[in-house]
Amino acid sequence: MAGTGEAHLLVDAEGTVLSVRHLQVEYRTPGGVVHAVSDVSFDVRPGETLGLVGESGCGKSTTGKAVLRLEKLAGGQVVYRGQDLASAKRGTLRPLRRKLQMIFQDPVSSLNPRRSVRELVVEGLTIAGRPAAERREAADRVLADVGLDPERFGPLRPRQLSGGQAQRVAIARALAIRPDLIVCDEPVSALDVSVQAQIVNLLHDLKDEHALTLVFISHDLSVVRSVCDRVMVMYLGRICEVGDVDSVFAAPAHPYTRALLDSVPRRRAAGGFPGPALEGDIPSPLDPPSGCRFRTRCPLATERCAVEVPEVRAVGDGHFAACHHADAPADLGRVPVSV
Amino acid sequence: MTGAPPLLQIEDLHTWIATDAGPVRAVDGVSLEVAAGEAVGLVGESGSGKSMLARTVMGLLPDRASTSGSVLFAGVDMLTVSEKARQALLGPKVAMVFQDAGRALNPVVRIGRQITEGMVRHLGISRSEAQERAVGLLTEVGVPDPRRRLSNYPFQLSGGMRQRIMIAIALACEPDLLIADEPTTALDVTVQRQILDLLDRVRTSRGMGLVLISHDLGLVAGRTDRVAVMYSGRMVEEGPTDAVFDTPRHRYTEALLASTPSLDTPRARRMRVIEGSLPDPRRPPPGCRFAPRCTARTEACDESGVDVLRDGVLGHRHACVHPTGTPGATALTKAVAADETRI
Repeated sequence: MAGTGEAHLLVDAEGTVLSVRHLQVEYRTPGGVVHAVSDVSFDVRPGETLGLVGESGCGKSTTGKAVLRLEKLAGGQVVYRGQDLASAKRGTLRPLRRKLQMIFQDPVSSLNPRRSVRELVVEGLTIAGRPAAERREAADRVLADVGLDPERFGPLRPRQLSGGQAQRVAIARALAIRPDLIVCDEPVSALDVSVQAQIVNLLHDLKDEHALTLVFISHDLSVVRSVCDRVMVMYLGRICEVGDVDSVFAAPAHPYTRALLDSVPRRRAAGGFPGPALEGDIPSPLDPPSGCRFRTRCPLATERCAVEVPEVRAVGDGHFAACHHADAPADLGRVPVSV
Repeated sequence: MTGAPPLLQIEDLHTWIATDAGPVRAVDGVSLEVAAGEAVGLVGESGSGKSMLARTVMGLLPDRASTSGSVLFAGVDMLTVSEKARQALLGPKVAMVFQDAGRALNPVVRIGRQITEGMVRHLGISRSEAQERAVGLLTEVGVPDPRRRLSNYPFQLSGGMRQRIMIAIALACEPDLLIADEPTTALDVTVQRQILDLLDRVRTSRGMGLVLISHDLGLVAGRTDRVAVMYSGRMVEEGPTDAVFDTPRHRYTEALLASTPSLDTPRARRMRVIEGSLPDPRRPPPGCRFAPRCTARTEACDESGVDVLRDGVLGHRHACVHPTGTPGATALTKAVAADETRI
C-alpha cells in the first residue's frame, strides 16, 4: 500500500540494525481513531543515515518514537539486532533502550532546567547506577566530543545556553551511554543556518568516530539530501518512496515526492519553483482516503488508486515507490533546473 | 533609484531597546528604499534586526524602544507622525503579515469580522458591503467556500488557511506596501509554496510593493527584485537579487550562502560552517560586526565606521573591507570551497 509491499526490505534481516515490520500506531480521540502510522515497514542498515521526510501529520516523528517504544504500538514488529522490541517486557527493554537514543527538535525544552549540563549529560549513567568517577570521566569525554569545554559549560543550566549549545548538550547526553542507533527528530530545524551547519557536521563526525547508525527525521529536503544516505518519504501515515538519496532526489518516482521537491524554492527556476504546486490540504487522519492516501491530491490518480492500495515496488536500483503510476511518463510540466 | 521618490525611504535608522544591562542595538544605522511595485527581500539570521526594522516602520515597537533617523512613507515620517495620522496610514497604505497567523488573529472573533473591521473603519463603507468584499478577498487568496468561512473562528482553520486569512486582512484596504515577516516559516513546504505563489499573484495584479522578510535565502532569491542582507543590526549588503546571490561581495553573505544546504548545489556531506556566534547586541564590536567570525579579518576591519555601504555596479552595495571577488581573495575562497565540498 502506500505502505505495504516488501520489495524494499532486505531478505536477510541479519544485515540490519533495525527491521520495522507492519508498524501501526493509532490514537483514540473523541472524534475517532487517528491512523498516525499504518503498516509501515523498513530496514535501517549498519552505519547508514536514513532520512524520514514528509510534512506535518505524515507520521515521521511518530514512527521515530514508536521505534524506541516511546509510543504505544497498535501492531507490528520492531526488531533491533535480532530482538523484537515491540513484544519485549520492561526488564528486557531497559538494557536495549540504552543502545537506542533520541534527540529532539527543541533542545532547551528537552533538557531538565534544574540540572547542570554536567549532570544532564550523564543522567543515563546515573540511572544505570554507574559510579561517580565513571560519570565524571564520561561527562568530560562527551562534552569534549561535542565541542563544549567541560570546565566552562559543565556548571551551566540549560537556559544559559544558546540553541546550538543546547543541541550539543542533547547530543552529548545521547552519546554518554554509548548508543548504537540515534533517532534525531528535526535536530536542526530550530537553529539558524550557520549553527545548523555546525550541528550537521558534528553529527557527521560523531557518526564516524562512534560507529553510529542514524535515523534523521526532517521536513527540510535540502538538509536531508546533504546528511542522509537513504531517504524514506511518508504521507499521511504511509510510505510513498524509499531509496538512495541520489536517485530519489534526481528522479523522484512518487508524485508526492515530486510535488515536495517542486515546492522547495529554487533560485534558478522561473517563478522560483521548478514545477506546479500541489493543490488542497492534507486529508484528515481520522478518515484517510481509501486505496492510495495521496490520491485526493494526486495529478495522476485513477479509479484504481481509490480501490487498490499500491504496494512498494522497485522502480530502479535501490529505489522503491508505492504508486500504481510510478512508471508513467510524468514530467507534469516540470521545468528542468540547471545545477 | 531615479525618477519618482521611493514609496518607503528609511534613512540611518536606529532602533534601540532598553534593558537592565544596557540598550540592545536591534537596528543600528540602516538605510533602505523600496520603490512602488517593487519586491525587496530582507534576509538575516535571528538577531539580525530584520523584524525590528519592520516593526519600526509599522510603529509596533515596545515602550522601551527608542528610535532615531527617519522612515519616510509616501513623504510622511512614520517616526514623528502623530498617532492618529499613523493609524490612518496603517491598512490603507501599508500593511503587515506576521509569521504566526495562529497568534496574530483574534481567537474569539469570527474571521468575517476580522477582515471587515479595517474596511469599515478606513474605507468608510457599510458593513454589508465590506462583507461582500471580504468574500471577494477570500476567493482571491484561495480560500474555498469563502461565504461559510466568514463565520468560522481561527481555530477551525488549518495553518495555511489562517495565513491566507491574514493576507486577506492585510490586503483588505488595498495597501501600497505589504510587509511580510517570515510569512511561511511555520508552514509545511507545499503550503509555503501556495502562500508564496499567492503573494506573487496579488503583488503583480495590484502593483503593490512588497518587503519579504525571511531567514531562508532560497525563498527570497526566486521572487524579489532586490535583496538586503542584515547582520547584527547593520546592513552588510544590498543590491539586485541575482547579483547578490550570484556574486556576493560581503564575507558574511558569502559564508551564509555557502553554509545553506540547497537543492541547487552539488551534494556535500560536510557543510561550510560560520564559526562562533552573533556578537552581544549591547556591546557590538567597534568596526565590522562580522569581523570576529570572519576568515578574512585584518586590523582594518576593527576600525570604527568601516562597515558603511560602498557603492558598486548596478546599485550592488556592500560594507566589507575585504570583499570577495578582489584579486587574491578569490583564490583563497576557491581553495576553501574545494576543501569544504568533498562529496
